[in-house]
Amino acid sequence: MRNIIIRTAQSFDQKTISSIKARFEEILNVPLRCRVELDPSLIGGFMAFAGGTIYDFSFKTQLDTLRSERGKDGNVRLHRI
Amino acid sequence: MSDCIVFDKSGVGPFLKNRIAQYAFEPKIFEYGIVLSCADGIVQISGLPHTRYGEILEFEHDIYGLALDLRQDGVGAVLLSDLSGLSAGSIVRGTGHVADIGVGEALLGRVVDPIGRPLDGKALNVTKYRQAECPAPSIMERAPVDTPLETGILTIDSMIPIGRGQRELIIGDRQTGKTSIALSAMLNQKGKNVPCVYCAIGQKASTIAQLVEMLTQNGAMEHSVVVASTASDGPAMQYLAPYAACAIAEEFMYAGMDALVVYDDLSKHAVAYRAMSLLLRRPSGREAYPGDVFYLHSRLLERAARLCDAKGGGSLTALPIVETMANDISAYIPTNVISITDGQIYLESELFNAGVRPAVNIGLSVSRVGRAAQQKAMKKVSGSMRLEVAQYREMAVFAQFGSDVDASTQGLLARGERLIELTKQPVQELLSLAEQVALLLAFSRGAFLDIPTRRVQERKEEMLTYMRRYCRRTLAQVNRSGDMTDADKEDMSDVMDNFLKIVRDRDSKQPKTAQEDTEHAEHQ
Repeated sequence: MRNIIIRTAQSFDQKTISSIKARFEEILNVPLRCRVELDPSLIGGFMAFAGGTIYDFSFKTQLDTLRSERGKDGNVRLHRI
Repeated sequence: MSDCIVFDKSGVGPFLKNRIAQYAFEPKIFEYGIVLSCADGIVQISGLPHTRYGEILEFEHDIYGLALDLRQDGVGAVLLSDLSGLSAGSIVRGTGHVADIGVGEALLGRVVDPIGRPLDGKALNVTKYRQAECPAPSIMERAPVDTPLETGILTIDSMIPIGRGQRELIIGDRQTGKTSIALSAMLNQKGKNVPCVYCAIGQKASTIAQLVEMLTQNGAMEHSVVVASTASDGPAMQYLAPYAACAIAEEFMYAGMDALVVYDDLSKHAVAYRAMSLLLRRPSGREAYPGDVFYLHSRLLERAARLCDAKGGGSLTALPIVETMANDISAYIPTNVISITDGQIYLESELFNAGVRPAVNIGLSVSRVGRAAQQKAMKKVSGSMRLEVAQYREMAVFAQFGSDVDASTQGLLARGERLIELTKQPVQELLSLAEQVALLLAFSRGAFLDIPTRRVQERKEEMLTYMRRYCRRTLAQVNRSGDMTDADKEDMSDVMDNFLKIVRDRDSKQPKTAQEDTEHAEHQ
């Protein structure tokens, strides 16, 4: 029996939480005890902390990744000043 | 920090549309650890089983650290920035990057910190990254050092010549001119296609600012990079700084260029490493330094080499600086670094205070590459210089008492005194190869023996001005070819003789003071 912490941006309904928990139980192959936290700074989506690994499905991280991409794009660069 | 978008002709609209079309939601899956404790810049973390040694870890609030202690159940990390905002129980993740730094031509003219962030207020665009720790070139990849790196300083280029690919230690007490020698070498590389990297370890921010200002004023900043970790940076930043600087310089080396790197100074580097190791509770050895303090410097300095043609034929010359206490070169860190480098330039505070600047003690300084790294022209005129200076030093004690010495010793003292006077050189006054050769040629022909020692500098200046005017082509030829043919020598000698005739006539017409009269009589 392991712990999983699900940190959501807005409050999700119980059905969504259960389906997330079930999917992780499938991936990690172990029964899970679930705890839900609320963190509006994630903007959207959720982060799951399980077994020493973060599964980051939050919008904030996606936006941060876009911003800090090391000049991969062709025409226009986003500069950090 | 703010972001700005730079426009090109196609504009923002199509760019955004393209970006949105290409976008795919990719969740980030990464390991995390929990901060157990943070104190004294060291953070103990639980978790993170797959962290690599030296990996950069990201804490909350944009704080970064270096993983330097890997255990089965956790990681010990040293913070690269301030502790503020970090609390026990917060999340840590690995970035997957072992400490690396942006490299390439974009860095020329810039001041950066050891993890590549610009410190001079402008954005930095790098296309390539290189790991700070990188294995040194192997034995078969190296070629012997045979090309000189001119520092523009007469003492060094004639008696302790430095070659491209050599490691030459600059060692001395505080305030003896160590940094000045390194800076002169950097200034002299202007226009020679030798990129220079200056690594400031644990220095005052004001000192670094002054240095950058000096480089800028002399037009040397265009071919230089400054990697700065100030005294207020934590020990981890100071520890990383020389490796980062070496990585930047290595990039130029592997691109086939000859690069120069200055580490100022490795004593502070060892102290920062000691602080870090003690806080990480690693066992300490002599003088509380950790057991691998030799390895700390040897792996850094081994990366300076001359590469064989198959690898591009580039080179990296290293000028590490070590500060001694009370002229003690047999202390722990100085002896370590002396045994690693290919020679040392030993600066003495006694000489410095006596006005001999650069305050090089020729007797204790050596270049183990030596004559192989000297231009032919210089070899021809500097043959017996070291010997003359050594003999002078031995006899100089007698000169102090003004005692009765025989004629040959008197001659030796007179020559030696004037030779030392000739080698005195201000920091920003650099001499090209031809000018140095001209001075030494003039000295060997007795151009400075008929005047009192205190007038040697004056005559030297006048001679250089005269020769720059009337002997320009020959000087340029010597600079270009590196050699002084008989024709060149004759030409320079003729011009010198003309000059000497003029000044001697002028001097004889001027009324002498009584002091000059007696001095002149003594030295006849």
